[in-house]
This record gives sequence, structure tokens and C-alpha cells, in this order.
Amino acid sequence: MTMTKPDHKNERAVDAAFASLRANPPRPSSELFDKVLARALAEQPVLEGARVCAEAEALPGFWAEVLGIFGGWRGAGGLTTAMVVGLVIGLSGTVQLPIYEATDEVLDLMPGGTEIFAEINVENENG
Amino acid sequence: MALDATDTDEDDRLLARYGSGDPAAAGLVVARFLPLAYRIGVRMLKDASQADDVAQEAMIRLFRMAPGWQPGQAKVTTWLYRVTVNLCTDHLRKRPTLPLDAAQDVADGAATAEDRLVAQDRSVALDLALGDLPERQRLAVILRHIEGLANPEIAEVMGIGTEAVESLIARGKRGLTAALAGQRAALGYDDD
Repeated sequence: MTMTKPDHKNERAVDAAFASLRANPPRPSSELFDKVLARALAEQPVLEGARVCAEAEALPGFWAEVLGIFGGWRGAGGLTTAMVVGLVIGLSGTVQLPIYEATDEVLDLMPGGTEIFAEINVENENG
Repeated sequence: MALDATDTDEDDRLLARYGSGDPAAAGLVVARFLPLAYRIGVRMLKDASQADDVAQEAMIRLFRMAPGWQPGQAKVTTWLYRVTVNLCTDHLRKRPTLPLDAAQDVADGAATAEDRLVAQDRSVALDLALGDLPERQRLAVILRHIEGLANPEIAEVMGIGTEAVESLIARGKRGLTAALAGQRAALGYDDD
């Protein structure tokens, strides 16, 4: 194929045509935008906080508020488990904790400490 | 349409927001990146329906990549250009009636010359002439002269060296200049 050497006018013509193309880019339709947005939401990782809120929103009125306070189903489940375990331990009453009897005996944890502190006080008073 | 460093940072932040589950970021990501994928799809495939498919698939891959995206390592747009271009290439290879990469530098534009003259529109004429270019020349010219990418970024998108990019662009532009040379009067360029 024979190709003539392009002159500057032809190159300017092509550059002007590029400018026209840049100024009028093809744009996605609103249908495509909606479809891709729906897919974006479906593919998006879910925040724990957002998940809890979504769960709470799915329930009506009072129960939604209660569930929200306890941090969603997971939080409410953990709280319920803790309550049941506490109740079982309390009702069983079989656990005996060692009880120390009160005595008048004084345990000296620092033998000679009284004299040492007295000397320090005297030194401080004498400057 | 080339992006500067600020745009790149903004893209990183937006993708991070989406990847961390911020629901408000989903619409912003679509609004920011879908036009890019769609533009490339239309200009490479010349088919709006196939461009829809390509753009949607490219965006799905972006959504899935978002949670693991490492900011600062690459540009989101470069990544998206590359994915979209690869999807377009796959589509083009599945077309039985279209030649993939013609051996000649410039295809014979005589068959479509009448259409171009009838259209009498600069952008339409160039668009038609672009369609006649071999695939890789067309892609390089689109990325350089329409999308406004720098040659090193084009090289990254196409997976070739910068010198090869320069050669493709030069050959492509020579081809376009020759194809439009005979139509200057009809397209109103003689008045420029």
C-alpha cells in the first residue's frame, strides 16, 4: 500500500478530530449504571457495625431497639449465654470458697520499719 | 483525562472506603470508574452491547480486588485500563468475522470513505478510521491521544516496552493522517 507523506495540515486535522472525540466521550446508560451499582453493593464487604444496624432495622420497633442496644444478634446471644451460666452457678450452691477467720494477730510485713522511718523524720527536721 | 497524583490518592482512598464496607462509597466508585471502562469498551469494540458487558465485568473485578488493594503501589486507573483492555481483546478474539491484527500498517479505507463523507463529522470520521487500524495500534492511539495517558503508563497497560508503544502510536497516527487526508475538504479542515 502506498502512503503519502502527511503534511502538517493533515496532522492538525487529525489532532482536531482527536479533540472532538475527547470532547464527546461515550457515556454509560443509566440502566448500566444501576446494574453495576447493584452489583457493587452485592459484592461489597459488610462492616460489622453496618451489619448490626441492618439486623436491627429488619425488626420492628421495640425489639429492634433492644437488639441494637445489645449489639445485634451476636451480642444478645453472648449476653444470654453469660446469664444462663451465671444462673446455673448461682443455683447450684456447691462451690465453697475458703473463709479466713478474723484474728487479733498483726502481721509485720517490714520488721524494723518503724525505727527506720523515725530516723528519716529526724533527719528531715534537722535539715 | 489523565490523572495527576491528587486524583491517584483520591482513587486509593475511595477504593479503600469501598473495600472496608462503607456503603456510601459504592456509588462513588461506580460513578468514578464505570465511565472509563465503558469508554474503552466502546472505542475498542464499536459495539455498545458488548461494551456494556465488558464494562460490567471489569467493574466486578474492581469490586473484588478492592479489599486487598495496596495504596501507592499502582494506579487504580492503570489497573482498570489493563483489565478492560484484556477483556476487550478476549471479545475481539471471539469475533469470527473480524481480522485480529492485520499485517498491513494501515487498512484500506476506501470501503468506508463514502460513509465518512456522508457523516461529514470530524469525530465520526476519525472514529471510523480508528476502527480500520490494527488492534494494537488502535489501542495505543486511543490511550495516548484520547485517554491522554503517558507512554510509560500505556506500556504498563499493554504489557510492552515504552519504545514499542512509541512505534505503535507513530504508525497509528500516520495511518489516521493518511486515511483522513483525502477528506479534509469534506470535513471542513481546509478552513482551519
